[in-house]
Amino acid sequence: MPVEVKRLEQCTDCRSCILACSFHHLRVFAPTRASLSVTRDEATNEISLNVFSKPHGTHMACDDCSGEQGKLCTLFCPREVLV
Amino acid sequence: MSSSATRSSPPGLGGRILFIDLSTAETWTEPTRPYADRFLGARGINQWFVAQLDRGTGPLGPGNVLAMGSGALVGTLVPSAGRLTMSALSPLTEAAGYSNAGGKFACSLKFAGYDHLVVSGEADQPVYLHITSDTAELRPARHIWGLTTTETTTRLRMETGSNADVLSIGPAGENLVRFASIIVNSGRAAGRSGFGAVMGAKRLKAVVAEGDGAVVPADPENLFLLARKMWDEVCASQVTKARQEDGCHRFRYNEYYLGQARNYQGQPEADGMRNLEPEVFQRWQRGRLACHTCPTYCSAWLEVDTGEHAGLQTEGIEASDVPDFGPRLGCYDPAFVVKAHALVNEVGMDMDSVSVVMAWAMECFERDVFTKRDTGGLDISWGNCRAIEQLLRNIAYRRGLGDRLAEGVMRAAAATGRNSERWAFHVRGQEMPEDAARVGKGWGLAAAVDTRGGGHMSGAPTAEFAMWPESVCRKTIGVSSAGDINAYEGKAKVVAYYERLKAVVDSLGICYFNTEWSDWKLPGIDKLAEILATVTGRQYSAAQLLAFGERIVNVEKFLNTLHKGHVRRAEHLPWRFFEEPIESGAFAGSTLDHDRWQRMLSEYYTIHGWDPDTGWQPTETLIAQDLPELADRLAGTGLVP
Repeated sequence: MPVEVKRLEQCTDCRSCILACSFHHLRVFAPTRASLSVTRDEATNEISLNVFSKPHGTHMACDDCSGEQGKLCTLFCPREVLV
Repeated sequence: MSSSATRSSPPGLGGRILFIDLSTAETWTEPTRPYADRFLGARGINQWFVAQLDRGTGPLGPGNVLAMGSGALVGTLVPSAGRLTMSALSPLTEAAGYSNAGGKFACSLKFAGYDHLVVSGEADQPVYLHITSDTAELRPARHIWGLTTTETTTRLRMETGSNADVLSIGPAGENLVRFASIIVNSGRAAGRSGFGAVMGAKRLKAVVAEGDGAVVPADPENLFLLARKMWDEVCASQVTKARQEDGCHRFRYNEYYLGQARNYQGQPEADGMRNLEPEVFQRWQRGRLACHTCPTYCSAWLEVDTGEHAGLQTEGIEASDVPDFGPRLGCYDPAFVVKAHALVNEVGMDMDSVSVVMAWAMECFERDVFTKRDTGGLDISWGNCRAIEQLLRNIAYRRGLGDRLAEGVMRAAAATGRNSERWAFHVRGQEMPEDAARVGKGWGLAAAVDTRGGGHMSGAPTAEFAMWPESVCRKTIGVSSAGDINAYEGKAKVVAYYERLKAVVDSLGICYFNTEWSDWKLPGIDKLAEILATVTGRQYSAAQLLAFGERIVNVEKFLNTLHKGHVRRAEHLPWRFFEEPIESGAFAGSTLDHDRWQRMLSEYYTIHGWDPDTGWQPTETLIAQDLPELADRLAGTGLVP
């Protein structure tokens, strides 16, 4: 099952998921390569979290953390926003 | 993939230090690695650049440098590894300063390939700096001069067409308020040391950073395991759980409450403090927020839904907001606390300093040193929140009495005279908001010797006010009396230990909250050394890592000696802490004992290898710290005996 955004209202904008994702793909930390992106408008606190199931610009496609023991983004999500 | 993402950087580093001279618009880079091997990262490396300044350099002149650094662990999955430390000569102390902010900017700087940004000179016209992985461009900022920090953040995101991170000053920085802050993404403050005024003097309105590069760890698999372990330890901590539950403000009023009212003149009102409990602010929470890669999410998005501030939305609040905008000013209105927090972040002023300088002005008003003629008609009696809100704006825009207060409490009291220096609370020119310093002996010592002056975010021991058990203190800090809040014995060693630890933590770019300073069950220096090795490939023992901390503290001490000739008597606390006892509660009767305090200070100097009588750094100590250049420069000034 691909990663899903289940509880966006719980997102704290910590962006740990992004670093975990790029680590899965490349064993480095590179937000622009991750299969997720997070943005926040500081004036309104509107948070947007996208998961890319296909390549999107520099972002790699989510492969459901193939080869890992669990989905790394969910492992590093402190509030179970992602499942 | 851009060139930056494939650029070869040393493990764990962005790889470069970006220098920019605003007077000439010239930019250049140097590799980070040699500096990191000597000063570790962020705060350590920053201070080395500040240490190159000549004696007599004015903090608000073109000669000052403003160094910003992301730490050695920033950009990795290590919990809270996203902090930025800034350093410059402080407009308040005219000597050492440093300030630390959360948010996202440090990561963006590093992903752009820069570990540090070092700004010198002074622009002719307002400018902002736009940094990407491939460019560093100065752009005109006249159109955003005067905007608040949120307005600036929003405007520059639109202008750069990006989701970049924005570090900016508000009107207070532009108006050279000496305690102006620098705000990251409108909600996170580098508050202390007045660096917003340094940016204002340089006419640098903002820095925008976005990067598409990568941080490449030396040992990815083991880093992942250690980061995951630390993540679990942070989340398992009861202190973390309390912050997750309550937020940064998690202190409830009881007989052990250390906050003081009306400029340290008495105990807070019990009924009033019930209005400021964490639960009161929680009802306004509309979401929780965290700094980069931090599982603690101690911040929140608030919306006030009642009273005259109904509809106000802001990120917050900080632990210091309640003492700063509550009992110290005689205020017990939670909505005012949120309003004041939002306002100081929008105009860009340090909440601690502005609180202390306003408390001084209000005591002046109480003692008829100031009348309504001085205040422009404002009734700045204790607890008059509306008048205080207006006074905040007057300070930021330097209107009326606000112009004098914008100079900081030391200078305002000197200009006012009439004995008002007696209730001006500062250490070496920086306002001192440390309510606990009269009770906790180590807390007081730390505030007095803090190289930037008057703060607890260096050597002050949590062990003291949290009253850690003896066995824990012995195991963690090596001093069994560390948790005895009334004890003087052993506190010099405790403070020196935490000064080193904090210098390391700042240089690694993680949050003090997620280390043993906050909870003894959280990672200490040994675990941080282990993690650092997996990121940078540099193997250091715990003792070697602490030695970096000692070197950094010595560089800052050097700055205080070189620029101000500070001697022992400058490392002292305000008289009220020695002469007026705590009125009531569990610590009723507490004061500092002059003789015992002085003995503790002498012991502290001895531990650092400094002269116990004068507090100065002997040449041999600086050489032992591998700082021979600084020894030579001090010897050449005739400042040391």
